[in-house]
Amino acid sequence: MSATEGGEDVQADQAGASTGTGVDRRTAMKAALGGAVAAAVWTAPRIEGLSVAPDYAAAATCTSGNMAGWTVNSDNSGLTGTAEDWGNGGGGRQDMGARAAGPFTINAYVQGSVNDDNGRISVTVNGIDPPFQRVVANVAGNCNNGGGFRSNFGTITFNTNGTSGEQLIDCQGGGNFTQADPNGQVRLNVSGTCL
Amino acid sequence: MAAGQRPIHAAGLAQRTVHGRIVAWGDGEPPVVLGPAVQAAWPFLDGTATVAELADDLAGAAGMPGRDALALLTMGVLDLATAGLVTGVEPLLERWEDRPGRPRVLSRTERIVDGVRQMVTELAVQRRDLDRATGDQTSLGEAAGPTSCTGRRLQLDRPAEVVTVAVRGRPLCVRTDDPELARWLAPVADDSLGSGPVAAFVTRDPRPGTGHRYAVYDGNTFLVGDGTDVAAAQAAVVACLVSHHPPADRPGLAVRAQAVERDGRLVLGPRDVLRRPRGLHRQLRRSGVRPVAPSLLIVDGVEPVVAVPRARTLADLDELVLDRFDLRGFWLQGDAALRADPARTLAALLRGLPADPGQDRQALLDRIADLVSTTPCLVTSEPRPRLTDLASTVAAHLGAPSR
Repeated sequence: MSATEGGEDVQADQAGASTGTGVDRRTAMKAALGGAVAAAVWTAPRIEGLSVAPDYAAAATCTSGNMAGWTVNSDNSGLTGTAEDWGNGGGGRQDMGARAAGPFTINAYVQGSVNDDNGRISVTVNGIDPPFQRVVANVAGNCNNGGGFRSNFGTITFNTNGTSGEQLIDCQGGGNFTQADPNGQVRLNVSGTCL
Repeated sequence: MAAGQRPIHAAGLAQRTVHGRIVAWGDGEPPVVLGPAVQAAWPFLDGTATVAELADDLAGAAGMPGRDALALLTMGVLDLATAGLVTGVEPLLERWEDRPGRPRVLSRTERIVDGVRQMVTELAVQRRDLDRATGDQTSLGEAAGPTSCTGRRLQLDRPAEVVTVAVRGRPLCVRTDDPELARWLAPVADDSLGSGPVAAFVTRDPRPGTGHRYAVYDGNTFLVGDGTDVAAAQAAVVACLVSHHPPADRPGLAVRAQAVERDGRLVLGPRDVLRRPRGLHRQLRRSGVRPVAPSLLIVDGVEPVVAVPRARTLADLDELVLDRFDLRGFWLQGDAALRADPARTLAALLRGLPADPGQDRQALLDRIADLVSTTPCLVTSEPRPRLTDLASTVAAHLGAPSR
C-alpha cells in the first residue's frame, strides 16, 4: 500500500490548508531551509539513518543472495550493417531493469559502440545494510573477432549502496571504415554476502 | 487521510542540534538526522498543524509545487513515526505496510519436506522485541539461528554445555563445549534459580600444534575476549557475567560499546568497530592496544572518564570494582560523508551504542555529543585500510608511538 494519498484526498485536504499562523510558519521554514531550492529539498534524504539496522537487528540476522546473470549480445545497428552497438537498434541504451539478488536490488545498463572506446556499463546497488553485507559485481565478456574483450569494470565491491558510474566495455580490434565491427557479448554477475 | 492529520512530537524523544542539523532519538529506535525538509517542519509538529498546512508552507518556503511538498512531507512524517519521533498519524500508519511495530521481513521461503509444506519467514528483530517475547530470559546471541552468520560465529551449531550461575541474585548462563572451562565454573554453578539468558558464549577452535584458540562473546554478541590463553578466556567470561545486567546503583551513564585501551587510556566505539575482530585484535595487541572486555561501560557525567565494571574473581561476581580510564576519543567506521558531517557522525556513533532499557537517552545524547565535540573522533573510511595501518592509527589515537 502506498503511503501517499490518492488525488482526490489530496485536493480535499489542501483546500483547507491555510491557517492564521501559516505565514509565520512559512517564514520560519524559509529561514530554516537557508535558501535551499526545491530540488535540493526534494532530493535530500528525508531522514538519515533509517536504512541502518535498528539496534541489534543486523548482528542477529544477515541475508545473502545472488542475481541471475545478465547477458547482453551486441546489436547490429549500422545502416550498412557493419556497426555493432551495446544498445538496442542503432544506439541508445539497454536497461537491465531492477533485479533482485537476495535482499539487494541491482540496476544496470549498457550503451555505446562495441568499438570506438565508448561502450559503457553502469551498475547500481541498493539494499546493503552496512557494515554487515557486501555486494560484488563482476563484468566479463567476449568478442567474435579473436580480439580481446576489454572491461574497465572488472570486479567492483560495494560496501554501501551506490553506483559504479559508467565503465568502459569494448572489443579490441576491427571496427574501422573497411572492417565490420566484431560482435560482442557482455555478462554481469552479482553476488551479495554477509560479513 | 494523510494530509489532514496533525503530527506531534513523541513523548520522551531526545534531540540535539549539531552544527545546524537536528539529531533526534525516539524510544526504542536508532537515532537519526533530519533532512532539510523535515527539519524545516520539525518545530511545528506540535499537534496543531495538519500535514497539508505544513506542506503548503513548505511549498511556499522552498519554492516547490504544492503536490511535491505534500508528498515529501507525508513520507517525512511516516519516516519520523517509524523512528519513534512523532505520533498523531496512526490512521495513516495503519494503511502503511512498513509501519512501526511490524517486524521487518527479510525473506519468505516455502519448501516441501517429506510431503509437508514448510514456510519460513526470516524477520529482523530488535532487542526490545526479544525482551518482550521472552521476558528477558533470552539473550540476543541465543536468538541467532545456529547456521546464521552470528550463530556460526558463536558455534551454536555445535553441542555445548550450559552452566547456570547466580549474579546479583539472577541466573545467567555460560555456554561452552570446553571441559576445562566447565570444571572451572562448577564451584559457582547453581541450577536452583532456574534457567536464565546466556551471558557468555565460549567458542573453541583447534590451534595448529597443540591447544585451542578461544573466543568469548557476550549475550549481545560483542567479542570480548580472543586468544589461546585459558585464563584470559576465563576473565572474559567473568566480564560477560558482571556486565549482562547493568548494576542498579551505577554512577554516570551506562552504554554498550566496544572499547579499546592502552596504558589507562581508552577509545570508545560502536559495536561494529571491530568488524573483523580477530585479525584486528591481533594487530592491536602488537601495538599494545587491547579490547576492553565488558561491553557495558559507564561514562562519567562530568569528566572525560569511562568506568569499566569488573569482578575480582569468579567467586565475587556480586562485588563489582570499577576500573577508570581516561577517554581519549571515539572511533567508528564510516565513509567520507559521515566523517564530514558532525551530526551524522554523532548519530552513527549513538546507533552503535545502544541504550539499555530505561536509559535516559537525552542525557546520553547530550553527554556523547559534548564528548565528541571536545575529544578526537576517529572515523576510518571505506575502502577499508589494511589491518596493520588501522591498528597503528588507533594506537596513535591512544598515544602510542608510531611503529
